[in-house]
This record gives sequence, structure tokens and C-alpha cells, in this order.
Amino acid sequence: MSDPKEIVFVVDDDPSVLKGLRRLLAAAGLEVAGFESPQQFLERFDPGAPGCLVLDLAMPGLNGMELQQELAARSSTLPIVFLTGHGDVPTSVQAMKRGAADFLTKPVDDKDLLAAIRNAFEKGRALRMAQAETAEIGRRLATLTPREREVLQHIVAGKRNKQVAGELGTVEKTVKVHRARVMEKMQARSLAELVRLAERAGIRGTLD
Amino acid sequence: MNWITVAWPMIAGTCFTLAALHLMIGFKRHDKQAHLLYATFAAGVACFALFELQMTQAATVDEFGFLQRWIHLPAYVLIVASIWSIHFFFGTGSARFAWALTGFYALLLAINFSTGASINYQRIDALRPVEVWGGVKVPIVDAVVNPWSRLEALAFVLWILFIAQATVRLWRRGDRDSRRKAALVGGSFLFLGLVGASIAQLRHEGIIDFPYLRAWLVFAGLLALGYELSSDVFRATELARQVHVTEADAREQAERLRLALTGARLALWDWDLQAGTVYLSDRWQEMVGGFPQPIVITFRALATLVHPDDFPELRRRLREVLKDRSPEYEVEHRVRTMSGNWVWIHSRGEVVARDPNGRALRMSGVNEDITERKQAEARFRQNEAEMAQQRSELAHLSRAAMLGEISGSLAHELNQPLAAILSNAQAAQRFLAQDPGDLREVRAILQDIVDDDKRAGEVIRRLRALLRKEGIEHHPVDVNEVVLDVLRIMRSDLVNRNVSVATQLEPALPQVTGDRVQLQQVMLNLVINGCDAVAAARAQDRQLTVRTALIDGHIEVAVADRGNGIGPADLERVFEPFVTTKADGMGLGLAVCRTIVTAHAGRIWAARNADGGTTFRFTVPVSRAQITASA
Repeated sequence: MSDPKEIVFVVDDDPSVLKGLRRLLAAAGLEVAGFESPQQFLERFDPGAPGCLVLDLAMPGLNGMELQQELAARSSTLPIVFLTGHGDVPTSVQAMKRGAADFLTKPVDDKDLLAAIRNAFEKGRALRMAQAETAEIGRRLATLTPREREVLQHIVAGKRNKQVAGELGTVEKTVKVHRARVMEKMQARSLAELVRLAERAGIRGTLD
Repeated sequence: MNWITVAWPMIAGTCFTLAALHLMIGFKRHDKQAHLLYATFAAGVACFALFELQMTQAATVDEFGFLQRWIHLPAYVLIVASIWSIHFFFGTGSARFAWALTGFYALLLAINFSTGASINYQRIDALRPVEVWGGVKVPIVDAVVNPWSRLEALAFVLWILFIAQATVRLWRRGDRDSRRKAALVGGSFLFLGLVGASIAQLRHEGIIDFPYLRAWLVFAGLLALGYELSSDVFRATELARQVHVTEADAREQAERLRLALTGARLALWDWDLQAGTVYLSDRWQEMVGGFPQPIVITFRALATLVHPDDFPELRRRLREVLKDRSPEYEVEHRVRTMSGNWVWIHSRGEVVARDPNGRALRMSGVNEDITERKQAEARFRQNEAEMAQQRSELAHLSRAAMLGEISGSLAHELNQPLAAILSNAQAAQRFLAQDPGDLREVRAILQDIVDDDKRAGEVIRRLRALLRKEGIEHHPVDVNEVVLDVLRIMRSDLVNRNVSVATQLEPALPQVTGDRVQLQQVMLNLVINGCDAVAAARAQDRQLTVRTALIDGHIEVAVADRGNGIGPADLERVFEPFVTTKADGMGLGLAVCRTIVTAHAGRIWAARNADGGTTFRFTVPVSRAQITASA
């Protein structure tokens, strides 16, 4: 696993279940933080912390599904493994649609749980990496001048330099210079890579 | 003709009439002596008056002397009759005194006929007419006094003493009747006697010249005695009439009693404890199957007819009454009939006579055939038992249906400890795999597993109790415990439904007597209904309040919701079977609740809250043992 240390956040209103889960996960060598209610968890929640959330579905006050929505609203990337006493299909489908990492029924076998947690970590890592990449691309995009950004949009749309020059009312040579500057600033080694970076940054090509 | 020749025959006639009258009365009545004596007295007075009348008309000394000697005969009769009349009529005279006087007067009579002209005169010299009241001339005598006449004076004094003694004794009895008799009869005898004595004395002293007329005096005495005697007859007659009326009443009452006994189909019994026999009226024979006639049977023989199972109780009750520890004997027992069947007898009675030591001598009472009533009671009890059985089964079905409704959350409730156990056990496996020597953590884990297992067991126990299909058992129940138990069972369901429950339970409530499971069922029903009522409400209204309180010897449990509420018309209807406001409800829950609560002698009802929603309340009376314990 990578640094910083990934943490399993466990939220279950049943103290003995919470205690059992914490023990099991600790015995499996995982870093565990337990919470007896969603509210308690939200108070201590750090959106940047890596790891995953093991969440009981049925709890008084704020239930599991509501906590999931709340976290989404706070644009958390923390993957959620749901635990439920009776896994009814509609609820699990809804949870998965909203991005749950897994949906397990109690009593849960340690292998299943640990596998789910590992997957969630995996997913979390991927999410974090994607997030980091997007942030990097954003940073690179920010270095572009408005003119260079216009050129980038035309290039991403697959237009040739001549066409771009025509659209922008300039000469092909100037477009070439801009293009080289964009490639340099975006650290793209090829046109294909530049297109991929632009897509990740959510930039659509200007066709007309 | 003068007033004497008119009055004296009238006196004589009246006296004869009285004599005849009392002679007749005397022969017909039980107090004949007084009447026969009175008749003799009256006859004596009559003869005496006739002699006197003749004496007033005597022309010669010889004629007068003859009459004067013989007048002592009726005089003797009347004086002796007066003595014995008083003796028997007053009942207070001395018999010895009376006999002595009778003898003494007999002696005087003998003297009268054997000495001189009479006991009064040695010899009579001449007759001298003197004028008495009304210008009538009556002869009196010039005579030499017989010395024996002093004895006559003595006899007269003794007579006065006798009358006086009897009168005083009668007076001293003190009752109104005695005093009246003493005053009227004794008083007039003494008065008249003294008047007569005074006249004799005055004449003897030569102060007045008065002929020998005394018939009016004795006649007056006779009338006084006669008046009292006939008053007695009247009183006796009146009494006899009253007695007759009373006897007729008594006969009528007896007849009424007989009719009442026959009408009520009661058999009369009368137990003579000394003889050991029991009289039983004819109805008894009818009860046990024989020809209806009164019988007398020994107590022992009667006791053998009593059912052996009932006899000890009968003996115990009987003993209590005989020893005066209980005022009335009352027992129900079976008796064998002639045909060998058993009839139920309700027997009541009491001791009607005891000896001075308080030992019972006689007991009597009535027996009633209550076989039909007993049979009806048995049928009623059987019906009751069957209905109770049906109620119990219905309650069970309704309970099972209700648990079906919340089965999902019950499974969750069971799942929680199982989940904890699995996690703990697998954690332990891992710990042991990593460091077999470190048992501290494993020990803690095992303890938690044990606790969770118990918790799961408790959930199952509660469920099983609710699904139990046994009969109703009445035990002391803590209502607060019932409420908390139900809320524990409902915990997951409440969480799933996102309903919160606030409790306001009065601490230290007295217990009620009831079936714990059925009371839980009522409570469960009300909480589930409450949850359904707030299902569509806003989050802050998804709330129930459960209250318990002690009100007027009843524990009241209230479950209030903040839902839409029930229409006023439906507040009572919801307790009817198959009436429901839920889409998937059977409409039996509240009907069963009402049956249960009613069987617990309580009440269940619904009311709309002022601030919206509905409150269901039910009451159960505090068990009697609790009331007496706290009193």
C-alpha cells in the first residue's frame, strides 16, 4: 500500500458489531477508525484522507444511504463498502449506482470483507490518482495564454494548422508557434497525448 | 207495701239470678271454684235477704225469735262463701286461716242453735216497732244479750283480718289488675264490714235504734265481687277470641310456609341432636326419588347418602355451626338417589336450640335441589373455557401475523450479535495465527462472543415467548417492563422506519395481574400502528410518545403519534374486526387488542390529540394483592 497510510473508517451504531469489525480489521493489519454514528464520522471527516468507509446501512438518525449522499455532496472520493443485515435488491442497486464500492450482508466473512476493502482501497487509489492527474492538467492549462487555449481547442477538434489559422484570422506560421508552445506547456509528447490531456481536463474541441 | 218489701225481694231475686248465672258459668269454665263459690255466696245473700224481709214483718216474739235463730244459717253460708271466694279469687288468702274461720263459724252456728234464743240473745222479751228511713216501721227487740255473742264479734274481727290480709297481699303484687281487684273488692268488703260493725256497735251502745237490716251491705259486697268476677270472664273471653285469631294466623302462616316450601321446591329438615334423628319433609323423598312423604331418619344413615368427596366439607361446616363459630350452616353437596344417581343439594340451616352450656340440641333448615343449576354452571364453564381457548388462538394468530410484519427487523436484531460474533471469532483466529502466545486479546474476544451470543439468545427467547401458543397465564406483570421489552423487540424496525420513540414511564408502578405475552402483543400492536400512522409524516413528526401512569387503581399506557389522525367517526370503529385503514392490514389487530384488554378487566380506546395525531390508551387494573400490600 502507498503512503499516506490508508485507513478503514467503520461506522456502525451497534457497539458490539463495531468492536468486532475493528478487531478483525486490526488483526488483518489494517489501520481502523470506528464511529458509532454517521454524525460522529462527519464531524471528524477529512475529505483528503485515503482509505475506505465500511458503513452500516440501517442506523437511527442519518442512515447509510443518507451519509453516502452527504459525502457525495462534499465531493468525497472515499469508497464505501456497505454492510447490511438484510440486503434487499432495490437498496443495493441504488447504493451501487451512487458509486458504492461493494454491498455485503451481515454476518460478513472476513475474506469477503477484506477483499472488498482491498478493492475499495484500489478504487480509492485510482480515484485519487485520477484526481491528481486532472489537477496537474488543470495546472498546466492555467499556464496557457487565451490565444494558446483557443489554438488548443481547435487542435483537439482535429483541425489542421491552416484551418486553424483561417479561423483565427492569422497565418499558419503563427499557429505553428502557438501549437509548439501549447505542446510544451502541456508537456505533451504527441498530438494524441495532448488530446487525451485536454479530454481529462474536460476541454472539448471547437468544431466550427 | 214499703220500700223494704220492694227492695229486699229484689235483692233476693237479683242474688238468685246471679247465683244461677255463676253456677252455669262455673260449670263451663276452668276457674269453676270462684264461680261456684260466688253462686253459693249469692244464694246465701238471697236467703239472708228473705229472712230479713220476714223478720221486718214478724208479728210475734216467737216468730221473730225463730227467724232470728235460723237467719244464721244463710249468714253462715254467705260468710264462709265470702271467705273462700276471696281466697280463690284473690289467690292470696291464707288457706289455714280460711279453714280456721270456717271451723270457727261452724262452732258459732252450733252455739247459735244450742244456747238461748240465738247466739245473739239469751231471750227475747218483746218486739218494738221503730220507724226507719222512709216512714217504714220495723220491729226491733228488747232482749237479754247472749254472752256467747262476744265470740261472734271476735269471729267478725278475724273475718276482717282475713280479708285485710288477702287484700294487702294482692295489692302488693303491684300490677294494675291486682291493685284494681284489691281496691274494689277487698276495699268494699272491708268498708262494708266496718260499716256493719259500726252500726251494730252503735246499736249495742244504745246510741241508735236501728233494726237488724244488713242484707244491703252483703248485697253490695256481692255486687263488688260479681263485677270483678264478670270482668274476668269478659277479659278471658276477649283473650280466648284473640287466641283464636292468633291460632288462625298461625295456621295460615304454617299453610303459607308449606306453600312457599312447595313452591320453592325446598325440603325442610329438623335434626334432633340428642336423639340423633333427622326429620325430613315430603319434598326430600321426591328429591332422592321416593314416594313423597315425611320421614325420620338417623343422622348416620343420612350421612351415608352424601357423596364422599363432599362429606369432609359438609362435616367441617356443620362443626363450625354446632360450635357456634359460624351463625349459619350453608353447603352444597351431592346426595345419592334411590336409583344410584347423584343430585346436587344446597343445604342451609341453623341451630335453633342449645342447652345452657351452649351445646346444640336442635338444628333445622332447608334443602334445595340445585342439580339443574350445577349442570348449567358446568356447561357455562365449559363454554367459557372454549371461548377463552378461541380467544387465545385468535390472539396467537394475530400475534404471528404481526411478527410477520416486523420479521425483517427481527432478523436484523438477531443478525447484529451474529455479525459481531463472526467478526470477533475471525479476529481471534488471526490473532492466534500471528502470535499464539498472546492470549489477552483472545480472552477479551471470547468474553464478547459470549455476551453477543447471550444477546442473540435473548432475542430468540423474546420471539419464542411471543409466538408461544400456550394458554393464558396470569402472573404479576410489570407494565413498564412490558413497554421496554416491546421497544427492544421493535428497535430495528423503528430504526428502519426512521421513527423515534420517547418514553415517559412512571417509576415504581405497582404490578398488574395478567398475561405478559398478551400485554406485549397489545403494546406491540399500538407501536406498530403508531409507526404506520407517522410513516408519511415529515421527519420531525416521525415520533411516538409512550407514557405509563397509575390512575385510579389502574395502570394506563398511552401511545401517542403525530400522524394524520383518525376521523372522529372511526375512533371506535377501528376496534371492530376487519376494519382497517391500512392497505395490507387484516383489521384484526385492534379487535384482538380489545379482546385481550377486556379479558384483563381493562379498557382500550382511541382519542384525537389536540395538536394532531392519535393517542391510543389502555388500562389494566392493579392486582388486588398489590392493593392490599400497599394498604
